[in-house]
Amino acid sequence: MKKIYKSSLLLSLLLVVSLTYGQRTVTGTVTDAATGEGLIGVNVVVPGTTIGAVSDIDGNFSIKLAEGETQLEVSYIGYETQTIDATGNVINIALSAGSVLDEVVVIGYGTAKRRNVAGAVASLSSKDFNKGLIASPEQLIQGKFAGVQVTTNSGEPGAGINVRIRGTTSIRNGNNPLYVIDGIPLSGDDATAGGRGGQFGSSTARNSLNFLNPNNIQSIDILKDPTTTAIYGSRGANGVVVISTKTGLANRGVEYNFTVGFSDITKKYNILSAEEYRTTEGANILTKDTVGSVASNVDWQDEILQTGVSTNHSVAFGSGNSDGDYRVSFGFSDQNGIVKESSFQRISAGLSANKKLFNGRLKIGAGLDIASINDQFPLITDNAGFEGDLLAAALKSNPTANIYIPDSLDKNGNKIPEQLSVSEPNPIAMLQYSDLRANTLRALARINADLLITEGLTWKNIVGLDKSLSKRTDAYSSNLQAQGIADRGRLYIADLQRNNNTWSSFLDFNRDFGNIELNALAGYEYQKINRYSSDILVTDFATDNLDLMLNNMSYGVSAIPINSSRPIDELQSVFARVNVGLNNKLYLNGSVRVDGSTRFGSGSRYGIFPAISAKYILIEESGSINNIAVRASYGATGNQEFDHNLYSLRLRNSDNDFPDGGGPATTGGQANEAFENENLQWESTQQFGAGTDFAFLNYKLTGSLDVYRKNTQNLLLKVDAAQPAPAPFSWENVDGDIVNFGLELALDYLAVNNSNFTWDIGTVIGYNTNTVRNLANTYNTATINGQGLTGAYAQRIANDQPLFAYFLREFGGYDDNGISIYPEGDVQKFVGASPIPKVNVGLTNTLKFNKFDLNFFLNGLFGYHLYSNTENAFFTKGAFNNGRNVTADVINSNEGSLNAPDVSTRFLYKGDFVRLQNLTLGYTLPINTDFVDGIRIFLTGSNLLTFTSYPFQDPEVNVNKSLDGIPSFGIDYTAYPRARTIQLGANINFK
Amino acid sequence: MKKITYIISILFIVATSCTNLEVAYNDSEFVALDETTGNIDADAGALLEESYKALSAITDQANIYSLSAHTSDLMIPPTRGVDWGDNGVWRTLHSHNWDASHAYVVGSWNQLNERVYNANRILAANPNPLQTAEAKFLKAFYMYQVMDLWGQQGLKPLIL
Repeated sequence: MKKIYKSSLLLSLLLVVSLTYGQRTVTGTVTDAATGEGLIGVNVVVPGTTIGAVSDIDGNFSIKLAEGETQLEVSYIGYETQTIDATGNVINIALSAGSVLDEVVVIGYGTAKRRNVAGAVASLSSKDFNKGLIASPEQLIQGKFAGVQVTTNSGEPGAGINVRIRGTTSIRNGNNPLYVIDGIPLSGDDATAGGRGGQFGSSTARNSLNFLNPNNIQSIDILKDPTTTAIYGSRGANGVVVISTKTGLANRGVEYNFTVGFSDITKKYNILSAEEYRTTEGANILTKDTVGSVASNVDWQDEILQTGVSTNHSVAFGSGNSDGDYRVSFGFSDQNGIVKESSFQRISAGLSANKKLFNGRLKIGAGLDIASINDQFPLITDNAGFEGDLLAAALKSNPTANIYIPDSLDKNGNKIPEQLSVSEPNPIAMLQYSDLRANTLRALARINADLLITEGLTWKNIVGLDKSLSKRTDAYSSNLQAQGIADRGRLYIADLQRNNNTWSSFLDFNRDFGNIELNALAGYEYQKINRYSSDILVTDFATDNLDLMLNNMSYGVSAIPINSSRPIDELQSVFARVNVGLNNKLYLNGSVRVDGSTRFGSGSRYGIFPAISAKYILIEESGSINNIAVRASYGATGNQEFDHNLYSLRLRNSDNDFPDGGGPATTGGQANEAFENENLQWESTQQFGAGTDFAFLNYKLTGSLDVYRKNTQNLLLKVDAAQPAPAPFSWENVDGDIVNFGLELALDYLAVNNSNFTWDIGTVIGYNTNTVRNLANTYNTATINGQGLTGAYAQRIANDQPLFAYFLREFGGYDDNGISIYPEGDVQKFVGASPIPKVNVGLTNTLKFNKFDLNFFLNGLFGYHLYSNTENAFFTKGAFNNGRNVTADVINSNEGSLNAPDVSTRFLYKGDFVRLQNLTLGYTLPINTDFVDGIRIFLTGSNLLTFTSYPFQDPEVNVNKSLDGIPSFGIDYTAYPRARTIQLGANINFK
Repeated sequence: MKKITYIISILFIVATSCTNLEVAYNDSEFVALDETTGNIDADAGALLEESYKALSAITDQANIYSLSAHTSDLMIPPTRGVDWGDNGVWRTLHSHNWDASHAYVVGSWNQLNERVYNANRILAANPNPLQTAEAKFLKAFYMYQVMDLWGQQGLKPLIL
C-alpha cells in the first residue's frame, strides 16, 4: 500500500508540472464530416514529433507550433487520418468516418492499424457493449463476436462465466482465454473460495473478473488467431481478451450514470400445485405420515424467490490534453438476485493518469482499479445428493406441508420452520438457518513509462500488481436439520490471498520508409503468481445464533484445520514481433515468444511459440468496392493453466474434516501430489487460419469471413499407471489431438445514415466442430447426482467423439410394469450428442431517430444438447412415490413407481435457443445549460424472450459436474434460475 | 553513441533481472531416493499409520467388498423404489457382465495396487524390525486380494 501511496503522490506532482514550448498558437474545431457535430478527443499532432493537442467536448483544440512547423496530423479512432496545412491561425477540420481498415486495434504489447494486422482481430468499444444488469466484462461482449462463445453458468448475480474462443481445446479445466487489462496479464484463477455445505454439496466460486467496473471499460479486443495470440506464448492457446480501460480523454467533464433494475424469474418449473398434488392418486396416502401435513397450500418456488432490485451508480470525471490526462471514477453496484438472500455488491474506485515529460520524450502513466466486493450466496450447489440444495428442496418439497410449525415462535419472535427429516429439508429453514458470505478486496495497479530513444524507437515498461484478499464464511446453525449440522452447527472459514506481479519491458520500433512500413517489437516479461489458501471448520456450537457463530466464534468448541496451501509460480519470457507493410498492399507479420514457466518440468522448462501470417489487399477503391483483403496465418500457442508443480515427487497431508454423518474428526494422511516427470509441459495448439476482410458501398457494408483449424496436442492428464506400478498415477502429456474446425462470419450494414435517422445492423455467425482424435484411453465425466445414482456419469471423452460427448443408455419408453426399456441394451454408449454448441449467432440492431435511440440484440446457440440432472434426480415416478413433488408430466407418464432412473437419453434435450437478450430505448434530453450538457434516459429489458424447446428453466446453463478432475459441460442440475430484468437509467454529463 | 548507451543499459537491466525459475515449494514435502541404498527419506511410522488407515477401503460397500460379495450370491442389492439402482453398477456385477471400465473393477484394482505400492514405500523408508514385519504383512494381505480377484500379481521395484 505504501508503494501505491508513493506513486500516486509522485503522480499528482507530475500532473501539476506542465512543460510547453513554441511560438505560435493555432486553434480550430474538428467536426464529423457527416453530421457536423464536434468530435471530442481527436488527436492533433505535429507530424514526426510528439507535440500535440486533443480536442475538447465541442471539438475545439489549441496547439502551439514552433517556427517552421506548418503541418498538423489529425487522427481519431474510426475516422480517416488527415494531414493539413496549418499556416493560418484558425483551422477547421471535417473528418469523415474512415475505413475499418484504418481503425486502430489493440494487439499484444501495443496497438496497430487494423490494415497492418494480417490476422483476425475483433474489437468492440463501449458504445456497442451489451446493456442491462452487468456484473463482469465478459457479459459486455456476449454474442457480439463471431467465434466467441460466452456462457454464464447460471442466473446467479456475478456467476461464473465460460468464454470459448474458437472452440474448446483442453480436456481439463483451463479453457478460458487469457485476460490482459491495460497490458497486465491476469493469472486467471479464482479470487474467492468456493462454497462448502456438508450434505448440501459444494459450489464453484463466482467470476473473478467481477471486480472490474464495466463502466470503466473503453474497449474489449479479442485476439483469436496466432498472428496475435502467439505473442502470448504458453497462455495464448485459448485466445486472448484485451481489456482497455477509459482514460481522461474519453471523459466529458463529470459523468454520472444511474440505473435501477427489477428482476423476476423468466420461467418457473412446472411442478404440481398443492391442489394438484392433493388430488393426484397414490401420493398423499403414502406421504401423510412421512411428509407431514397435507392441509397447507405452499408454492415453495415462490417462497424462495423474490423480485430482485438492483441499483448502480457510477461517477467519473477527468480531463486531458496532449500533455497528459487523468480520470477518476467511483462505482457502486448492488445486485440482488431472484433467489432470496443472494446478492452481489461492489464498491469500486478507478484512477488513471498519464503525463508527458521532457518535451514529450517520456510518457508515464499509472492506473489503479480497486474494488471491495460483498457476496451473499444462496445455498444452491453443484452436487447435492438426493436431499437437495435450496432450489431442489423448493422443487421437491411437499406443497401441502407446513412451512412453519403452527403457532410457534422462537425466542427472537420468529416463526419456526417445520423440519421433518434430514432427507427432506425445508427450504425456508435453509434460508433462515444459513448465512453464506464472502468479502473480497481486489486491486489492480499499474505504472508504465515509455521513453522515446530515437525517432521511431521507444522503450516501454509496464509494472503491474494484481492483489486480492478474500474471506468466505459459510455458517449453518444447529437448528438446521441436516447431516453433521443438526444440533452441532457448522462454520467454514475460507481465506484466499493472491498476488500477481508482472514486469514487462520492451523496445518498440515504428518507421515508415516510403514503400516499406516497419513495426518491430522485442521484449522481456516476468510474472510471479503467489497464492495462499486456508480453510478451517468449526463445529459443536453452544449457540444457534448465526451472528454469534460468526462474530463470537468461541461458542464453537470443536475446530479443525481443513487444509492450507501456497502454490507459487513464476513465468519468464522473451518475445519479438515484426510487422512489415510493402507498397500498402502486402503485409507480413511474424512473432515468436519463448516462455519459461515453473509449471513445466525441468526437462522442458522453456517452450517456443512462433507464428507467421500474411495479408494482401486485393482490390482497393474500385467502383462500389472499397477494399477486399485476404490473409492467412499459422502459429503455435500453448496452455499452461494447470496446477503448479505436477512434475516432482512430493507429498502433502490431505484434508481433515468432520464427517457429515457426525462423530469425531477424520484426519488426513500423507498422500502423493505428483510423481517425477521432468518432461511435463504445456498443451500445445497449432492453429491455421485464413480469412478475408471486405468493405463495399462506401463502407456501408463491411465484414470479414474466417476459417480456422486448431489442433491441440500433449493433452495434460492425471493418468492411472498400469498396475502394478512403481507409482499409482502420474501427470503426463498424453498423446491425442483435439481438433477444432470453424467458420466465422461478421457483417455490418449501415442501412440508413442521414442526419436524423441511422440504422445499423450487425450480425455475427460462428460455426465450430470439435473432435478428439488419437486418444488411447477414455475418460468419464459429468457426475450425475440423485437417489439411486451413486457413481453415475453421463459423458465420456474418447477417440473420434467431440469433447464431453454424451455417453448414455438409449431410452425406449416403459414396459407393462412401467420399467424403462433400453432397446440397445442396458449399457451406456455414445448417442451422437454433444453439449458444445455448433453454431452461435448474434444480431444487433442500432437505430437512432432524432433524440431517440433504440438497440436490440438477439442471440442464439444451436446444435447442442443439455442433460437435465434435475429431472433425473427429482422428476420421476419413484420420487413422487416417496412423497416428493414432481412436474405435471411425471404423473401422466407410464413410468412405474419402482423404476430406477438410470442415466439415459430420457433426460437429454436439445438446448437450441434464440433469445432477445436485450432491448434498450433511450432518449437524449435537449438540455444544454451552464452546468449540464446532456442527459440521456433509457429503459433496458434483458432476457426478454427465449425461444427454445428445452423444457426446464433455461437452456444457457452449465453446472460443474467434474469427475476425478475432468470437467463436464452442459449439465443442468438445479442451476440458479435466470431472470428477466427491466432497468431504468440515466446518464448525465455535467460541464 | 548516446543511443547505444541507452540500448546497452536497457539490455543490462533486462539481463540482470532474469530469474532461474526456481520457486519455493513450501506447501509440500519432497521425497528423495537414495540411489545407492534404494531407500527413501520418509517417516516409516507415519507411512505405516497411513497404511492402516487405508484398510478402511475394505469396509466400503463399493469397490473391493462389492467385487467379492455381489459377484457371488453372498449378497444382492435389490433396487428399492428409485434407490439403489445406482445406474446399474450392482446389476452388472450380479449378472456377471462387467467389463474393465466398470467403476468398481477399476477402483479396486487401483486401490489394492496403490496399497501394495505404499507398503513398498514403508519398506524403503528405513523401518525398524517391527515396522518391517507389519509392512510385509500388509503388502501380502493386499497382494492376496489382487490374486483372489484377478488371479495374478505383478511385481515392480519401487521407483520414485
